[in-house]
Parts: sequence; structure tokens; C-alpha cells
Amino acid sequence: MVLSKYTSIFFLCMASLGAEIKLPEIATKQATNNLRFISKDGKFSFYQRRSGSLLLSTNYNVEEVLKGKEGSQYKVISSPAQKYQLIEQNENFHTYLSIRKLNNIYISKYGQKKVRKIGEGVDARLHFNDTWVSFFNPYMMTINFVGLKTLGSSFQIKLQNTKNPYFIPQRVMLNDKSVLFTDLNGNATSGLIEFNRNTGKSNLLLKAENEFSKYELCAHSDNLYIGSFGIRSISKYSSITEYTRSNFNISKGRIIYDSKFNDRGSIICNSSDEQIYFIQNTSAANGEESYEAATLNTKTKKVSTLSNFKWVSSIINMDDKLILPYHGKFYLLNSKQAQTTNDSLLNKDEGSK
Amino acid sequence: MQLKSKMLPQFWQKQFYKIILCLGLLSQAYIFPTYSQEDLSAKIETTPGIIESLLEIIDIEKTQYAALIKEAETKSLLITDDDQVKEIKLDPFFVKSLLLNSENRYLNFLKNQKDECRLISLFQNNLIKTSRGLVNRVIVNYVDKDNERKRALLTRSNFLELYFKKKCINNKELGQLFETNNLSKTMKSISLPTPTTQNQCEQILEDWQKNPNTPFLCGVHETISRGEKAKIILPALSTIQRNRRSVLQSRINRAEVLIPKVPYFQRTYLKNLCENIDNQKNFCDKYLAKDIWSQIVTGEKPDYLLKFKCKNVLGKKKITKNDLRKCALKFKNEPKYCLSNGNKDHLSIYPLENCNNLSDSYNNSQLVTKYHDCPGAVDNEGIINTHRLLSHFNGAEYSSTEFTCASEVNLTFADLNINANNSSGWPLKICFKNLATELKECYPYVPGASKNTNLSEDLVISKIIKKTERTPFDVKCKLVNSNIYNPNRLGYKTGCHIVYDPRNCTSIHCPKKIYFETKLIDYLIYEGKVLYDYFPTSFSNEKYAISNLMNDSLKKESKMIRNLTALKFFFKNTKKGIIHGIGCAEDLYPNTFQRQSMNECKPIPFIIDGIIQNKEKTTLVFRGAISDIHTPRNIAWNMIFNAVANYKELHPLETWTLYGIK
Repeated sequence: MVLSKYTSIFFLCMASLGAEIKLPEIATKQATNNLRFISKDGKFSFYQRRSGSLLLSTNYNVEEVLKGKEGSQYKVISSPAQKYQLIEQNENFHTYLSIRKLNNIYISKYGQKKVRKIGEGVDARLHFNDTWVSFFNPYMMTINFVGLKTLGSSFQIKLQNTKNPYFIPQRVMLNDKSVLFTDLNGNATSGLIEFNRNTGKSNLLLKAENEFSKYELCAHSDNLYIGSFGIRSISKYSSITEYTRSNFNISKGRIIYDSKFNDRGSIICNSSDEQIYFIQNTSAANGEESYEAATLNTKTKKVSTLSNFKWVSSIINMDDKLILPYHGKFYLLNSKQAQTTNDSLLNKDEGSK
Repeated sequence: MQLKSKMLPQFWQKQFYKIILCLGLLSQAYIFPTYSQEDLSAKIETTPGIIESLLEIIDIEKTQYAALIKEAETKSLLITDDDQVKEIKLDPFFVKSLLLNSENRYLNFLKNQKDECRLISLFQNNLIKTSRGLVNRVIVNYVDKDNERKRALLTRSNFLELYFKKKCINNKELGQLFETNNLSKTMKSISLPTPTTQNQCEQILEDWQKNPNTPFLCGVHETISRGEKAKIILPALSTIQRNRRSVLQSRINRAEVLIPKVPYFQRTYLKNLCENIDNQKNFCDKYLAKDIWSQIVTGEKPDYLLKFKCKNVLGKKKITKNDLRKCALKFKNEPKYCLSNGNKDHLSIYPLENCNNLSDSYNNSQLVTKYHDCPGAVDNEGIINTHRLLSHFNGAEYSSTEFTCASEVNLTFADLNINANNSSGWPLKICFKNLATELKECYPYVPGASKNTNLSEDLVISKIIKKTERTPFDVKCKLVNSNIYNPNRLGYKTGCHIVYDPRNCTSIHCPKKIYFETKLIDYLIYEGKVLYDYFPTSFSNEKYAISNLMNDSLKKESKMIRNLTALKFFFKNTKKGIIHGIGCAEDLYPNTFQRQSMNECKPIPFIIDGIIQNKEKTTLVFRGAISDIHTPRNIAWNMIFNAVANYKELHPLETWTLYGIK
């Protein structure tokens, strides 16, 4: 009797040790390395050709959106508002290896082929219910904001950073008037700054203890999340704090996560109302250095590991679908296991809601 | 008593132990029976006991020695004929003075030795001294042709000459090997083994202690060391002290003759050996220390691994060995320091790595880096990687100042293309309309200022301005930082100035204003973009891909590295080989670059030049093209694999872009 009890405990333990998280891999009709965007409902997708074209594929119809030089590389993003899409075009992707080179930035209505060039820069983002676009110029160290509601409205924020030429600032708009962004001071210490469009003045809200931490910003609905992550072993700490966007006050945050390890961050907060996703340092649990995709319940503060790869470097929110790129393949973090072979795979897992 | 001995200054403690050792040696007259007291009438007190105070012992010895010299001086001799003496030896009281006043470490050579030639070899090499310092004159006992035993004063050389005719002929022969004329050759033939384990180290030191060459090697070290000390003392000495100054100057001169004959590694090895010949711990610590900084100071590892960082943190154009030692000590004792120091004016990704991690990387790295490039000022990671790779195999050395660090890199790349007859590989041109011919003229240039090429941007602009402004004199345009340029100042009112804003300037993107005699030159047009395939992206242009041009130029072949086993095998079979590749920055620098969309990738070239294997994990020595060249990073194979695999999906030929070159 006792023996059988121990045997069952042993098998339970073995089963739990061997438990692996198997994520479904994206397998679409189109070669995944050409795909740049698939809409949430799977009704349209953007893909590129080696010839340098970006194409929009809808029901039995394919149209050219942009034509670039041979080998051009495209990046297509949207936001949960689903009003616009941003397209970055890199015409010398293979022939001009520069992290900072400026891409052509275009905007199109969500799922439509007509595009308008709005500037040159990198890291283009949509803000505030798709009413603003921002992009960064690493040479001038300026964040350029372009209004989408009113033609011609734009403003610029000049960064102080001179020490790290590869720094890309995080930024979110609290409202039409103010912007939160990150910058580095003369010592390369990270700071969180509020810029007021009316006065043109900036106000330092947070300053990291030293130059070995970074801030991340993510806004969704009325929630704003500020992540603080150590980037060297000298500064081992990670935290995520929740704020209210409409009534933002830096001293009135609620810490929803903290850790004595250096997580990689990459916070995604706009995929679900109650969950945020990030890349967590799982070295303590695995007994060796490892990083996995994780989800954090903003109400219960419960953290769950979602992947089993050890070296996760990126997670992406593509129109509400969470994708984990790994070893040249794409895995879905919030979809059903059974759906693995076509575009319908991109239908969201009901259970994960 | 114990408390008292603790409070004694270190000098007196050393003296105490020395006296114990000397008294031990002398009282038993065990080691050198010939030096035991004989029936020579000595007007000298007997040796005081150890219960007498140390000060007293030293004082008595000084008095005795003075008396002895006084007595001997009356019989100062020059013995030219060895028939004059039947037997000759150092006077026992002279030996006593030597033993009492010499350094313990060298006296330990005599421990457990019955061979008096050991004592002579110490004497021969100036490793022992009397209370009056280094020995020029020797008090000897000799038996003359009438069989009468006498005491006399001989010059050092006269004594040795006579002595070698009677005994220790080997010492004479060894001495000849270490004479100035033969030193270079001798040093080349001597092997100086560096230990890797404690046992090995103990054995090596024991062997050195027994080796008859050791006193001669330490003689070389002491001569150099005395010269270095004299260099410090001499400037502080009054000009009135002529004799003292002349002694110091001759020590400096002597050292300067020897230094070029003994390479740096050998000098530091001998320093460690001779200064710690009686201290196994100190001797072994230097070699068994795993940190690279100590190994650079001892000369086991090349100094370029520290030199450029050290220059940078000290803000010096040239650094001395002493500066290197200072930096090594700082880096060893303050690992955090390297995280934020060492790349000033050589912009790269920030923060850097801690000194301990750098040390681990360097202990396993192979890349030759005799320069300090500046990725942030070049803005083309392929060009940076090409320069690093070619400089590794060519062993090229550059001064790499703030102003030349970018042009050195561009020039390497331009030369590679021009030499390969790939004219389109270097398309940067400065153009203008020739008003005389109405035709557009263009001249190729390499961005930045450089004295080493006519393609240098400043020289090309100078040439054009001379032509277009029709000046009879040569024009010399200077690159000037816009923060400094002030047209109201006299220095900027004449001549030609190329003004750039350092906050908005890389080699590839650098808007400039050119002023000639304060007139804005607005007709020059910069044309061209440096576009190239790092690895071939099409079969038609395969020949001109930079990877192939490099292979041709270096006459080397590369081999694809597909997995960790192949990578380990590669490094196991090469001491100079390195691996280069391209991967996505989002996977190589995940803290800095984040993906937002599917198939997003910022391709970045990199070099892997070593592998660190320990029981727990295997990591690679990684040098990304946006990282400081003197800041290697230890990263997991998985990160490399992920980065290359993600880039492969986007590559037109789906090439696995990771190759080893050896």
C-alpha cells in the first residue's frame, strides 16, 4: 500500500519534470519568411517579394502596396485601435549594414493599400488611439511626432543622450498634450521624462540609480505600465508598475511585479485587459541562465511561464496575436495547440481570454 | 614579547631573521669550511650573540668592517702574477659582512649548498653587499709564496681573476655568457617556463633555486633594476654631489645597454623570479593568477589588450609600463570600473562589460586588436567588421585617435575594394561643376582626416578648393568641430575649414560646411553610398562580396560553422583562426533592440574569436560590430544560433551566415 503510494508520487514527479510547454508553430500557405503582417481575423496579410515589393493580400486578390529596390525589407505594424498601419521600408537591407540608418516610413489605413510617406527614421509607433505617429532619428537624436487627425500637426523632442549612439527611446502619449519618454543623461543613466507640448518643457520624473538599468513604457486603454530592468549583473532588479493614464501621477503607481533578477522586458500590454506579457529571467527555476516568455496577471500578480526555449529574445504582438520568433520559426503564445497548419491558426484561443 | 616583535618595524624584523641565518651559516662554518676562522691575528671582537640587540649587532659589524678595511688598506695589492699567491680566499670577516648586509632572498641560494662557488657567483653578479654597499674592493686572505698567511685588499676584478685560476672555473665561463656582447644570444637560448598549476610552479621555482644560471640571470635583473631606480633618484640629487651623480649615471647607462638585449617578457619574468626567489607564494601568484591584467603586466599576454583601454581611461596619448601597471591594478581590484570606462571618444554601444568578464574573455580570445576603432562614428557595421577581420590577420597597428579612428576603418575598406579592382565598391565622391569646362568633376574620397592616403577627405577638398578658387598657393583644409569653430577668431579667418557637428556626424552621415577664407563653399556635392554585400546575396555578384574579397586578399579559405560541435572543433585546431557572421541584433543585444513585427531584423556582423569552456557551461567570446573592440562579451551559442537562424530566413539565398577563417 505504502509502496504503491510512493510509486504514484514518483510517477507524478517524473511527469511534472518531463512536462514541456509545446507551442504551436505558425504554418501558413505563404512562406513565413515573406510574411510581414496578418490581420487578427486573417482576412488580409502583407507580404514582401525578393524583387522589393510589398503586397497586400486579401480574399483572392493581391495588390502591390510599395515598390522598392531589390532586396528591400519591410516592417508592418498596427495597434489595437486598428485604424492605421505603419510601414517601414529599408531599401538597402542587405547592402548597407547600419543599425541607425533611416528607413522610409509610410502610413496606410488599416488593411488598405494606399500609403503616404510621413518621414524617415526608425522604430515607428502608433499612439493614443491611432491619432499620432512617432518615429526616431538616431543621428539627430530626435523623436518626431506626426498628428494623424489634423494634417500638418507635428512636434519634435530632442534627446540629451550623447553616450550611447544605439539607444532607442521608449515613448507613450498620455494625452494630446503630454508625452512620456526615456532618455539617457551625460553619464548614460536612464531617465523617464514628461514632455509638455504646450510649454515645450520637459520634466524628469524618474532617474535610474545608475547607468545599468533601463525603463520600458507600455500603454493600453487607461493603463500605463512602467518597467524597470537591470541590464548588468551589478544592478540585479526588475519591476513593473501600473499607473492610470488619464490621471497619471508618478508617485501613485502600483507595483504589480518585482524580481531580483534581470528580466529582458519587452513588455506587451495591449493584447489583453488583464494580462501583460514580457520576457522573464528564469535562471532561478532552471538552475542555469535562461529567458522565457511569461504572462503576468495584473489583478492577481500571478506570473506564469509560457515557453520552454531557454533563450527567448523577442515576443511580438501582431494584431492581438502574440508571436515568439525562435531559430527562424514563429510560435504562437496565445493560440490552440491543434491549429497548426494554416492561416486560420491565427484565430485567438477562446480559453486564453 | 610577541607584542614587541609585532611592533618592530619590518626592516628590523628582516634584519633579525637575516642575522639568525648568517649566524647559523657562520657559527657552524658548515657551508664553507674554508671560510672558518683561522690563526690569522684579527683585531676583531668575536661575533655577538643573538641575545644582544639588533642595533648593537649592526653597529658592531660596521665598526668591525671599518677596522678591517683600515687594516687591509695598508696592504692594498695588485696581484698580477698568480705565483705570488699559493692560496686565496675571501676574508671570513668580509664574508660575514656580506652575509649580514645582503638581501635574504639571495642568501637563500646558499642554503643547503656546500659549493663555495655559489657564494662566488653571488659576489660575481653583485647580488651581495657589505655594510658599505656594492663591493668594489675585496678583503682577502692569501698564502704567499713563503707560505705565510696574510690579509690584503684587492680590487674585485683582480680577486676574481686570481680566484678563477684556482677554483670555480665554471663561474668564469658562465660569466662570459652573460657579458654584454653575448647577452642577447644567451637570453634567446634560455627558456623561461611559465607554470599553469601549483605543483608545476613549485617545481619550476625549485629548479631555478638549484640552477647555476640563476645568480647570473638575477645579476642582469639587478643591473636593470638599479638603473631604473637611479633614473628616479638622479633628478632629485643636488649637482654638488658629483660622485653620487656619476655613480647613478653609470648605473643608468649600464641598464640602458642591457634593456634592449632582454625582451619585455624576459625582464618581467626575471623580476618576478629574482624578487621572489625565496617566496614561492609571491612567485606563483603572478603566474597562477587567472586575471588577464596581471598576465599583461608580466608580459605573458600582449599589451594591446590593455593599452588602448588604459590610454582611454588615463586620457594619455602614450602610456608607459608604469601606466599599464596602474590600469591593471585598477581593473583587477575594481571590476565595476570597466562597465563605464574605456571607450571615451570611441563611441560604441553602452554600457560596457565588467573587468572580470573582460578578463575571462581575453583569457580565451584570439583576435589581434592593435587599434581602437569607433563604431559610433563609422555607422557602417560591415566596414567595421571588415577592418577588424583584416587587421587581425595583417596584425595592422593604428594610433586610433578620436580624429583618425573612423578614417582608419574606412581606408582599410576602401583599399580592399580598390585593390580588388572593384571600382564600384568605393563610390564616395566629392563633385563640383568646373566653370571653365562646364563639366561636372568628381573625386573619390575616404571620410575623415588621414595622413596615410591621398583619398583622405581633407586632402581631396584641399585639392578641389585650390583648383576652383584658383589660388597660387597650396590649400590645407582642416576638419573642425562646430563647437570650436568661431569665424570671429583670428585662427579661423584665414585658410580652409571643414566644419562638422559632432552630435550629427558619422562617416556615412555627416553634413559639413566648408569655409575658405571665411567664404562658405556651397558648390561641393557629396555623392555616393557605400553599398556592398557582406556575404553574397546573389550568384552574379558573388565575387565582389566582402567575405570573398577578404578571403582573396588574405589568401585564406573559410568554412561554414553550422553547430557548436563544429565551432569547438574549429577552435581546437587553430590558434589564429576566427569566426565571422551576420545575425539579427534583436537576438544578440536583446536588452537594446526589440522586435515589433514579424520577420523584423537588424542585421549586424560580428566576430567570434574564442570559446570559454568550464564544467558548468560553454560560452563564446563575441565582438559585435557595434561593440567596443576592447570589450568582448561572453555569450551563449544559443544566442548566436538564434540570431543567425533568424537572419538566414531573410537572406535572399537563405545562406547560413557563419564562417570560420584560419
